[in-house]
Amino acid sequence: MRDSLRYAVKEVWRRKKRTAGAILSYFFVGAIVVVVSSLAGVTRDTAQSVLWNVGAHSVAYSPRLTIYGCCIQTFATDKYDPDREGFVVNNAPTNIISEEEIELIRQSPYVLDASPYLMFRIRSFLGSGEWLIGGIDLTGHDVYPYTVVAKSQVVEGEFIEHGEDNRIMVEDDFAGTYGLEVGSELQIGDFAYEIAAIVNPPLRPGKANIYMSLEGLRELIETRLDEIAELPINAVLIESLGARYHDQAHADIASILGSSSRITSYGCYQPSMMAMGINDRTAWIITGIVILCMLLVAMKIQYSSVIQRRFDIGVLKAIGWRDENVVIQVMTEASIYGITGGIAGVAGAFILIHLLPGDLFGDGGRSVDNYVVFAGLLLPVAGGLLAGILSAFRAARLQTADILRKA
Amino acid sequence: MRNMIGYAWKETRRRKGRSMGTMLGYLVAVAFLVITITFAGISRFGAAEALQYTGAQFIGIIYDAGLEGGGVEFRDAGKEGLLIYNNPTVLFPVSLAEEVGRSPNVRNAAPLLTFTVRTDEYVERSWILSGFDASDMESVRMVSCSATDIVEGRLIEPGDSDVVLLEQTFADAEQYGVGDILYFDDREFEVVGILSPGIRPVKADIYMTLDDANWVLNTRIEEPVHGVINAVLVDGASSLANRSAMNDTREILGFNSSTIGYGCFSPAGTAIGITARGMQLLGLIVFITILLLVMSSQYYSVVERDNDIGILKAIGWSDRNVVSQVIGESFLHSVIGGLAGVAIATFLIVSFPVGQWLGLEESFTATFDPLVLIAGFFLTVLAGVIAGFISALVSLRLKPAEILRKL
Repeated sequence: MRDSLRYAVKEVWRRKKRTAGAILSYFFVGAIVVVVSSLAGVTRDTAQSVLWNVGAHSVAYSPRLTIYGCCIQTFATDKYDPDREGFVVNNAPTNIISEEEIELIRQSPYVLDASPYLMFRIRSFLGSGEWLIGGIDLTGHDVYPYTVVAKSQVVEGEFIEHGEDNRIMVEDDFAGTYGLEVGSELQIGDFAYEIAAIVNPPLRPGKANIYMSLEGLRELIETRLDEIAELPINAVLIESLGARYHDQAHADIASILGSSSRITSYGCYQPSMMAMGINDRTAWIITGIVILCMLLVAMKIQYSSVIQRRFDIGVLKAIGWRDENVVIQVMTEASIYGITGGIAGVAGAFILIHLLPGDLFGDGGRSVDNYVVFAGLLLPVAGGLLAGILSAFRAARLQTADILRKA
Repeated sequence: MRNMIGYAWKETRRRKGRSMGTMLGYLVAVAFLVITITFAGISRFGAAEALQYTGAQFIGIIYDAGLEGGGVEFRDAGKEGLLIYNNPTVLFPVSLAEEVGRSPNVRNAAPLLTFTVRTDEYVERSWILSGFDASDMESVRMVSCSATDIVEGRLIEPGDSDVVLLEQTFADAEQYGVGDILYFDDREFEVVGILSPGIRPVKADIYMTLDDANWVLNTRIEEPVHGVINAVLVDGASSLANRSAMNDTREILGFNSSTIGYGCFSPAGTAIGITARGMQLLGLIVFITILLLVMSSQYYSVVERDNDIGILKAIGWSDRNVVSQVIGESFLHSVIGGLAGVAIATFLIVSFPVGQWLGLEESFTATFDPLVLIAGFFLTVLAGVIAGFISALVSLRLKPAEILRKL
């Protein structure tokens, strides 16, 4: 074995051009495996990081019957305008939801987070219409940026903080309609609120005209009801674990809130899921194709090498080498070429990946999966050895005289 | 030239094993190139198809900043009005919607009339009505994203009259079902379908045809109006063009105009861009590395033949003849291997349900970009010939005596 290794190293040094050619070919095999697989994976992961939670946001609520038995139910036991004011979601009266139900929703394995939300419709105090107010829980559950309004959607002013119960945010269109500005006061019910920000969120499940803290809205609602509701909540803001788990999350929410509950959500999660699936499968299929093809290429390199060296093998056999010695010699050379080329290929791939534009890479950065590195190192060696065994055995089985005659 | 190919063919037949190995290398390289680039193209197409119109729907409106009733005088102005998300709007001619539809960034634009009405004198709840053009199925798709959003009954069809669709939350609260009758000013409207409470650019309780909505509106206002709407439903040309479509719509609608739409067009557009860039880069890298691999492989094949070249030179072949012979062989091998690779890649892609593997619709059939086939084949042949030429030149620099001494 030691002799085989020594002769193989000697041969490698003696045939420098052949060595360079073989190592260069294996270099490309290793590099192609790592670069192509990584790029397919990076494309999948980056697109997935963008699409992961697209549309995976919902508001759940429980509509309240407007007619119960013989009698008409008002939206709430409102003391001023019971037909128009009250707990409203999607323009419909709603029931109160308990904190325990929200906690149960949070415990669903398909739900990332859930937080209480309060929506109350109140008579307009400028003109004759109605305003919808959203009360946001600002104490730590960061669901509202995706379901109601995010800090990045502030057009002017500052996003309200927890404890700022006398400050509100108004939607851009609402502010335009009523001529409101940041810093001005707006009378709602018995209270005057300072406008802290004008916001412009896109269509959201919890869309309202005015946003304030949950505690602030509860305080306002107390003054509008005949019967005081204990810490009322009439909607739950939910962020599913991701678009892929959105349907399961909805099923869990429906089972917790009951069959009469309703969930308002986007339809965008379906194309997002489809696009993620396409990218995912593409990455796997391309990785599979590259591994298979490069294995064949590595085998071809070694096969060609042995075929070209049948004359050398004939000479070795003529001077007394045994078949197994020839095979071991070829295999050892193949290993040296494969390992050297593979390591160089993986290193080259790393360099190339770090030279690619940074905006191609998402949150995962320029990392390369370990299994891809493993494949990049293993394939040249495995392909070389496999083809080396087959072709060396074939060459070794031939008669020495035949080989030398054909040379 | 004929001699060159003739000798190359002779040599190919004489050295079957070596020739097979070289051609096999070309076959695998070209097949890998064509399959990988085709897969990348199909994936890019599939992801773009899935996300092309995601979130690219919105409405364009003009706010009534003066709170003047939007150009019409409601008889019950305190409780009825041209309200969208509780904000008063103004009427504008249908021709503006047609103008929006002519924008290059808009795929479709449809008229919409939406307003709030009081139910009746006994129950003073306000309902939101929306009238759309049922003959324009694109607008129906926008109001109800797809037929799957119908939880019961059917959509309104072209030619329908005196029929309504109800939002599920509204139907729950008011306890209406399919087949029930709603009354507006003694005119009967049959409920034909119930919609799920998904997020839509226009949220209403009741959806009906534009003509019917116009009729209901005229029963509520002092001066009847015709050919006017207060919103235009816009389908952007794509999620990538949606921002431009919004700008165009605001520009056409003019002063105090606004757009309300989804936010998911932005990540959808980003994901399309990521997938497209990733797959293009992957294709480019595969192309370049495969060409380099082919060149290194061909170089390796020729340097192994120093002995042959030495013998040819020793028996009197001129340098030109040797180079011609090597180029001829490279050309022959690359043409045969390349053609076989193209054929096998085509066969594999046509034979296997590539689209279904990637999760595309069943109707999808894989098509080839002829440019990939042609460029893959010709560039591989060119790379093989160039590598053959370079390696033959390198071998020629050696003296025949030196080559033969090394045998």
